[in-house]
Order: sequence, then C-alpha cells, then structure tokens
Amino acid sequence: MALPARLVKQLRRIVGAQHVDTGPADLLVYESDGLTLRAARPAGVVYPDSTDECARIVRACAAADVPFLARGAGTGLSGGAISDGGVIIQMSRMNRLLGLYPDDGYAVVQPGVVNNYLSLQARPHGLTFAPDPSSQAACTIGGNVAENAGGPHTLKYGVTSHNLLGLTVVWPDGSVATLGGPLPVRTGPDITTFLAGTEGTIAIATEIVVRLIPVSPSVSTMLAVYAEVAAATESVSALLAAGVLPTALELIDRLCIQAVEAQLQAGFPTDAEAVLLIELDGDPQLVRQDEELVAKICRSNGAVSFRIATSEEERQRLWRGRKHAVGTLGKLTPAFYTNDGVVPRSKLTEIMQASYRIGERHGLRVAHVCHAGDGNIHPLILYDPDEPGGPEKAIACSEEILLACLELGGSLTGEHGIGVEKRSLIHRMFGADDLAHMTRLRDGLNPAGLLNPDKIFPNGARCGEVRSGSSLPAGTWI
Amino acid sequence: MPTTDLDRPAARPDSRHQVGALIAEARQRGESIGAPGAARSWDLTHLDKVISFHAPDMVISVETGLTLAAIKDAVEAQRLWLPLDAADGGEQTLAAYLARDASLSWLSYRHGPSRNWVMRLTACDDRGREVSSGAAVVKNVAGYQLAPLYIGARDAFGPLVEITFRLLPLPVRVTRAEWQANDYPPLLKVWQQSRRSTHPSGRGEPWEALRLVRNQGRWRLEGFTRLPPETVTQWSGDDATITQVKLLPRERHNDGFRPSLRLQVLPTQLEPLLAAASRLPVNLVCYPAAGVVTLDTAESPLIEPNLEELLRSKLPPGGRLQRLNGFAGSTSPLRDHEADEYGVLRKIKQILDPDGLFGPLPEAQWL
Repeated sequence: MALPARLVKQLRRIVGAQHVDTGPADLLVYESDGLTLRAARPAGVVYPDSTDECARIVRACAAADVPFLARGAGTGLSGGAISDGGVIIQMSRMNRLLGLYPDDGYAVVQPGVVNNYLSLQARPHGLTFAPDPSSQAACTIGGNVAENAGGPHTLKYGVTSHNLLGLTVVWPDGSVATLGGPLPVRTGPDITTFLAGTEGTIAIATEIVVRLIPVSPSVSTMLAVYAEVAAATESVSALLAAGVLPTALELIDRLCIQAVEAQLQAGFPTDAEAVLLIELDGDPQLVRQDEELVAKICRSNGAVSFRIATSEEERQRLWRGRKHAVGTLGKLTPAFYTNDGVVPRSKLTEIMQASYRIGERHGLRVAHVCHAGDGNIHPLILYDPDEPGGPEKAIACSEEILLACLELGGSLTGEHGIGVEKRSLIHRMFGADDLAHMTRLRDGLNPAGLLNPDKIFPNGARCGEVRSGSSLPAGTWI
Repeated sequence: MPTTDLDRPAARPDSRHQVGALIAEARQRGESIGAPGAARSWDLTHLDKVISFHAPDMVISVETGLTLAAIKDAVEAQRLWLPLDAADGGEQTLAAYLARDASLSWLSYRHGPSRNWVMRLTACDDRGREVSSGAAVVKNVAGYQLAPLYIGARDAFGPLVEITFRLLPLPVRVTRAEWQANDYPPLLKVWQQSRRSTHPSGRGEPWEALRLVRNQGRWRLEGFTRLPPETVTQWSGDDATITQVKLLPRERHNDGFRPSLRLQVLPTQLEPLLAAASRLPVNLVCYPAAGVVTLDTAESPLIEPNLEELLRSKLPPGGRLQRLNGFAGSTSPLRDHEADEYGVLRKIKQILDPDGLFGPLPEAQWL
C-alpha cells in the first residue's frame, strides 16, 4: 500500500527529501526486526533529527490517518517494530549523547544512541549503563525503553525501568511532554517507568534520562562445568539460597556449547552437559569471600570442574562465548527460532526437561542459553526453513514451551516483549478483565489506534505473516 | 470536604470479594470511596493473607492488609529480604504504604522505590472487578506494568488488594558505624571518603543504608555496610563507633522525629540546601546519596512563618518540595509532578475512573 502523496510531501518538507524512503528496495530492510519469521512491509520510512521533527511527523501521520511507529536498531525479537502499510519513524539520526553528568550519576540521550556506546562514553568517568542485552553493540536506548530490556547483568542491577529516570515523549496526537527528571530516587506515581515496556504503543520517546552506576572496582568471572543439566539448575537455586547475589548467572547447555566451541573457542568443555557462567562484582574483599562460597556450592551440587578466570583476557573470552553463543548456532543449523519464557527459579530443572521433551516430540533439536538467575530461558529451536512447514513447526514448538512456562507459574516473556509474536498467547497469561484494563489504558492514551497498532494485544487482523526461507536467522541477539 | 483519612468513615471489607461488592455498592449509591477527598477511605486490615511464599523462588505474594513489618518478618525468617523501609517501622498496612508510596528511606538510593520490587499487582477497577498485571516471577515484560501508575496514586485509580514482591538474599554480618559531630560538614566528608576509598572514581556507594541526622542540635552519621569493621575504621580513624550486627535493622525514627517537609535535589546540589536547612532550629534526616533532606518543622512555622517559601527559594531548578504527614507519607504526592506529568495522570484518571468513583486525583488545592 502506498502512502498518500500529500503525506509524503509533508514528510519530505519536515525532514528533507533525502530522509524519507518509500521505494520498495529501501523498505525491504524494514520488513522484519530481529524476529525474521514475521514480516510486514511498511509504506514509508522517515528519519527525524529532533523531538520537534518527530512531533510534526506524528501530527502529519495522524492527520492522514496513517499508522506509524518508532524503531531503533530493529534488534527486537518479538516483531514489535514492524508495520504493515504504515510509516516507520526510524530513530537512527537521533543518536546524540545530550549530556553526561558523572557527579550526579546520570546521562541524557536521544533514543537512537546505541546501548554500548553510552557505556563506553561513561566508562572514563567510572560509570556504566546497567542493562546490557546481548545486542548491546547494536540496540538503542530508545528500543531498550520500549521493550524494558534486560540482559545478563540485570540479575543484580535491574532492567531498563530500574535505570530510567525521565523521558521526553511525543504522544500519538503529536503533542510533547517531559516526564520525570534526573533526581536519583522518585516515588510514584511515575509515568516514566510505566511507559517502559509498553512496546511503543502509547508514546514515542525522543529524549531519555538514564541512571549510570559505578563500574565495579572488582569483578570475578567463574565457570562451573556439569555432567547433568539438572545439577547446574540445582546449583542456581543453591547459590541464591545461600545469600549470594551474582551480577550474572548464566546457563549454557551442551548443544550450544558445541556451537560456541566450534567457532569461538571460549573455553567451554565440549563434553559438558551444561556450564554456568557466574559473575560477582563489588568490593574486592567481598568478592574474594563470595568466590570461595560459590566454588563450594557449585562443587557440592555436582560441578565436575570449577575455575575462576585469572585474567581479563580469559574473562572476556568466556563472555564472548556467552554473548555470541546464539550467533554461533549457524554452525549447526540453517535457521533457529527462540523465545524468552520465564519460570520461578525453582522450576528451572522442570522447564529445561520440558523444553527438551517438546523439541523431541516435534523432531527438533533445542539448545539453551538461560539467564538462569532470573529463571529466564532462551530455548533455541533449530529448524530447516526450506522444509515444508519447517517454520510453522518451530513456532508450534516454541509456543508449547511458552505454555509450559505458564503452567509452571511463569511468564511468556522476560525481556523480548509480546510484539506480534506472542499476542495470540497473551490471553493464556492474563484474564479477560486484566487485558480489558490494559487495553482501556492503551485506547485512552492512543485513541485513534494509529501508534504501533496490532501489537501486544489480540486485535483483529494479524500484523506480520509467517514466512519461510528467511535469509537471516531469527534471534541473533539474546 | 474531609481533609484527612481520620476525618472520614472507612470501608472495612472482610474479604477481597467484599472489596468488589463495596465498590459496586458505592457506585449504586453514587458515593465515592478511596482516595483522599472521597466520602469513605479504605481500611483493608482484614485482607491479611500470605497468598504464596516459596523461599527458593524469591518472591512473595500477599494481600495488602498485612503490614510491611509483618511481610518483612515473614521473609527474613527464610533469610530473604524485601529492601523497602518505612520510617515508622512499617506498622501501616501495605495498602496504605503503597497508596502513598512511603518508600523513600535510607535504603532507597541503593535499592530504589517500592515499584522496583513489585512484580505483580491486583487492584479493583471501577466496576469492582479484580484486575492484575505482571507475573509472580523475578523478570517479566508481558503486557503493561501497572505498578508505576498505582503506587503513590493514593487509591485514585482503585484499591490494591494483592502484591507480589521479588526478594533479595538477607544481608547478614553487617557493620554498623556511627559518627557524631557538632555540625554536618565533617560527617559529609566521612561519607565522601567512604565512596573514594571503595571506588577509584569516588562514586562508589559502600552503604546498604545511610542517613545523616540532626537531633536536638547534635549531628550523627549512621550507616550499615557489608564491609568489615577494619575497612570502615579507615574512613575516619577513631572517631567512629563501630559494631557488627547480625542483620541490617529497619529504619526507625524513635527520637520524637515527625517529618513534615521533604526536600529533594541532585546530590551535587545537596550541600547548599543542607547549609540552609541546618540554619533552622529543627530536627532533620538527610539521605545524602539520594539528595534528600527531611525536616521536622512542627515548631518552625512560629520561628519562621514563611518557612516553606524560604526553603522553596533555596531549591535549584528541578528540586522538589513535598509536605509530609508524619510517617504516613506525603500529603502531596502529586503536587510536585511537573505540569506535563500531572496532565497525564489526570488523563489516566479519566480513563480508569471516569465517574470519579474513587474520589478525586489528589492535587495541590486539596491540601
């Protein structure tokens, strides 16, 4: 569907003709986000440079009754940043660090600033931005806010909403509001943190105030190796029960280890059924104390070997193995599909067993990386996109695993969001009254329904068709 | 119009089902119920069940008639910790605590306000139906998270009836340190020194909890850290009284302190504000890392009739001033929200409670 000519003219006037794309080849890039199994073709992409331009674009789209949404780096894994026939407001030009205030521990950024860039700028001041999704080299702070992004280190330092202080937003009618601010603690009610995780369905963030935390003076990374997955998951419970709060507590299973080692040689033993990557940080004395306790607990829960990284190079190698684990699956499969279900921590063993079982029933191999300390799993379902029904089979397998998470008292998503991917399942997690209450808020704050329609909640026609033969593996970032 | 909760009759449901029934009944009668300014307030003390608590999962689900203290007792018995505090020792119900978001305490710089710990909530809507958001796990982004809207909204969007908190391991073997002085500058230096010696950038925060107190003209800095006593001693030589305690205690102001004004600025703006406040003959409590100064000004209006204006004039742009009603929390939780923010809250009120069944959205003129 083409955009009305008058709207295209208006958009060009707002941002300049070179910052509006409507040609099929240009739009192809925007058909999917990190979830390549879902695709939809936008009618146009526009690249604003400021809050004012963004507000004018929104007003123009609203007046023309054309749907619109904001998009960061497109690394999202739930199809939240795709548009079927609407306008994508692409934030890549709004990528400036507007201010960094080390003594007060905060920064002000535009939404297109890349997550890792912010931490790199803060690091000379001894500070960092805590949320660190595995896509942090590409994903943007605006996207982090929309999805309430997490990452391995959020076990101790919280997700995006815990590190978000203020926002400038454009509402769906094109008006602008400033919410929150740099004060380090703000009691409620708090619109800023409410908007985090609403997946861009209520407002578009154009300036973001984030908390920066001190880089820890001491960090220790440990690798515990297991001959059984259950022993690794039991260690997770035992560590937390003993009062240890690691900054990260990650589980990688055999299939994933094999892929990592074939490509990256991170130092994970290939005969292990699972490894735990455990990171502690803080005061050096306390870190040393906890290292001993962690070693003892892991060994007493069945770790066949345990080691502490003795150099920064070794530490980085281990983390490279974890953060790039998913990308290495290309060694094993032409395509894979993932989700991010969550279970209560004590149910990790059960959900892992269920996940393997479900995979077997579908005739699919399932590898796992998990933010085990949070009970947040990432089953990686390997499939052949050229096999008839291959993608559908992977999706069915994933949905069964998510429903198993719900049966164990968990959630459909710990950090990827609902997007279009899981909206057909959300009624399995929430009752009709719960969903009606949420959509009442959405419909009241986005009354014309033009801002990022058809996301999160079931809403008539599906946005994003399942497609076969995707050229990119889904879930490259987790 | 009644001005405090004590001036109006309270609805005391025996069960959650009855909360819904009372809302439906109020609707039928055309009566308002809930927020300050409504005909009746809520007293949810009979909703006092722990819904579920399985320690290895590190979450607890409770009804909101339980007190914060009772919830903390329950989790601490399992060596877990809810890092929220209330300066009255947590004797009010969770419903009252969350309605006012009375979570600004000596823990809140490190552990954040109460919304950071709420993983799931259930409230009643304007038809008396229970509505929930979130999940009883430590990480979840499914659907909209309503906790940031409801907490601090003083029941203006509906009463909270059930909450799930995530928990942390209980800090044990804690070092308590106390320094005393005739004035605050040497004590602020101790705090700054503690940050420098535990972090190369000088921006570390070794304290689990820290406050600077002026009581009857004497100043003291009191903090709790997981670091050993010998490390703490290095920060100020022999001036400190250092002891080791088994558990981090809860914050209590047991010396007659009754907070009435709270000022909040950026940490770098704290010193001038503290200088201005210290010239007033009042007791005060300051949380340095959060940039918060809380004053007991009960006697001060007589000494300084334009006290509020005087303090407001000392606030830098972006600084906040809130009136407090003792330990019951802020009487003006929404007053200091900037115009934009308050406008959105009004809109949300219109969406969730178009008939004003839960009373008005508290605002400045209501004070």
